[in-house]
Amino acid sequence: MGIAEAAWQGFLLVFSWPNILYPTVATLLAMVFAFLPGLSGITLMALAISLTFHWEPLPVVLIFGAFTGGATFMGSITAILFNIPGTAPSAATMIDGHPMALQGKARTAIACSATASALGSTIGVFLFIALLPLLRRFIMAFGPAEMLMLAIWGLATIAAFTGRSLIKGLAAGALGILLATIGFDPRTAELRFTFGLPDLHDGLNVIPVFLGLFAVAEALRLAAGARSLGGARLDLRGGMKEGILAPFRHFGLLVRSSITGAVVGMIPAAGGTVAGFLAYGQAAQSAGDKSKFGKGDIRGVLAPEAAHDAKDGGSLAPTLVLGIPGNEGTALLLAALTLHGIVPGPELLNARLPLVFALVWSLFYSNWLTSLLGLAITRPLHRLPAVRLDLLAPFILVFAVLGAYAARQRFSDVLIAFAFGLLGYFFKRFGWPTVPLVTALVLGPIFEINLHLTRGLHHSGRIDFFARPLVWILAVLMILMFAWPRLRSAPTRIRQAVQR
Amino acid sequence: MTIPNSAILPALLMAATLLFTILAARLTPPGGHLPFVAGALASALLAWQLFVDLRSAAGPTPAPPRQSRLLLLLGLLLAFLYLAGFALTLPLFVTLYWRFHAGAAWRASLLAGAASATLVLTGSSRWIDIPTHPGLLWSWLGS
Repeated sequence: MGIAEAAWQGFLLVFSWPNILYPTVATLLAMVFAFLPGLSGITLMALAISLTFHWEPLPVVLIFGAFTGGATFMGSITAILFNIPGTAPSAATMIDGHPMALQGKARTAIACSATASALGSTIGVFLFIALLPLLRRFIMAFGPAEMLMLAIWGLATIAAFTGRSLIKGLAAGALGILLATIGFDPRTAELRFTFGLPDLHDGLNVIPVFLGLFAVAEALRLAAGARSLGGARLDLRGGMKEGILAPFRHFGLLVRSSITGAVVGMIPAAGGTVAGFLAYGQAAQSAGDKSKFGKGDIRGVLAPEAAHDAKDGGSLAPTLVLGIPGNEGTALLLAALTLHGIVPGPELLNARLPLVFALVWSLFYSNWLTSLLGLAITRPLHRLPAVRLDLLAPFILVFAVLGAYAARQRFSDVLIAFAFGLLGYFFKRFGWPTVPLVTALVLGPIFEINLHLTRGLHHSGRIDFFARPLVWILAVLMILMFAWPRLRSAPTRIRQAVQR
Repeated sequence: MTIPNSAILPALLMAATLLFTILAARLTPPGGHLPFVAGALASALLAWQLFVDLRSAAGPTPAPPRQSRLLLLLGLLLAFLYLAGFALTLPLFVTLYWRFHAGAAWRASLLAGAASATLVLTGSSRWIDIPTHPGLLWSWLGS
């Protein structure tokens, strides 16, 4: 099927009645979750995976596309108004957004943020569509050897998720691989770590694990301490028009930041936080007058917002083409898709291409809807953080319990969700990262199956692992990705050494 | 018992889990290669982390004020969910949590409980069809 035809079919799937209701309601939910500090789009996605288990694939694709897009912009409102990023990637917006709010330009900053994020997401989505023909050809050459390299790449990106401690991140990743080995051995069909419990024969179900690590842990954290923001209210002054026009006045910066965001989104593990800060750094570096940055420069709001939203389009490439989740959100998106029989790779990019476009248009629609609604409801929204967050904790637990049980109707899954909830809570309390664990849990089985397949095919002479060009290309790309930060700073370091 | 540096607890617990898995993997060699390698690697990393934690000057990490009560509440919730099922336990839990853990007024707590009951009943209705655990007690009484 041609790209244009599939894009049109995907468009019709989203923008028809009653299908349009799915992304609309999902966007509204994502906006509320992303706006309340302590909750996030990730919590919502983790809850939704299980509750939509019995649904048809199309509504699931539509709501997850909307969750991915809808949660992005709203986190910036709390960053601008209260200096608290609703989501981690909004931290870059906070640097100049909050000083603008303190100067009485909160509405200008929010308007600029909304416009930049809508335009940024548009550029990100169209960049993904433009690259799709190339990606389709690339994916057709994939066999077990290439999948093994990809799994190794994905597992190696754990190093980027480690936070402050590399050892903690790697140890959490190794624990994730171990947890992924529970159940039948894919080669010998031997049972591993099941301790005679039939419920563990199929391995750990990712739904209760994700619900535990993200939803139950969050509920525990809210119930144990976090109450409210104090409800400080800001005067929302400043012109909306100035904010809306800012991305058009600095159009070059908008395009540059969006492309940066989309490219960063395509790199597994880089994520929105990296995209936002990278774009912010580029904006500050390329600006003629840098003195205003950090003190309320509108370009400091525009650049990270555009990059952050463009990243969503870019991150679909590794997720849908290669099955490598680039961040927590795409890991949950991937889990939701695979649970509904939508497996990333050649089949999805050929026979089920309209479904890919349905996801893309849903993300696109939700990004625009969030920006427009965010602009419209700024004034009433600024009272919401006065809500006591600990009162939400039992409702999150209710959803988590229902969701954990719904997938397989086993009470043991509720126990698993609670066990991983405790693990996630203590991980967070003591500064242990959860993302390496989740990434390893998702990629562990792919790594193990393809390792055995590749080994078998290589030894039987069916393939020569070392003679496959894509294996080498992927190896070089992997090395480049890890060496890039050092390579990029090499000229500066050489210059400094020469000067010394 | 006073733990001088409670930050070492996660590493300690994970090290114990991993050592156990390594031993278990050794007993079933053919299927145990990957778990054995991953477990051995993680154990070495954790030994390093424990060394770092023990050497750090950080004192005991203060627990959030309501943590112990919360963990007890969670244990009780699980037991009640298993015995009395979702339809009864979840609304009851929300009501009691709002009233006694969060200190909300009775009226607000009862409203929250009613909202969660509506949520559970709507979810398990034929329209949405989310299955719920009936509870061991009700199954036993019904048999």
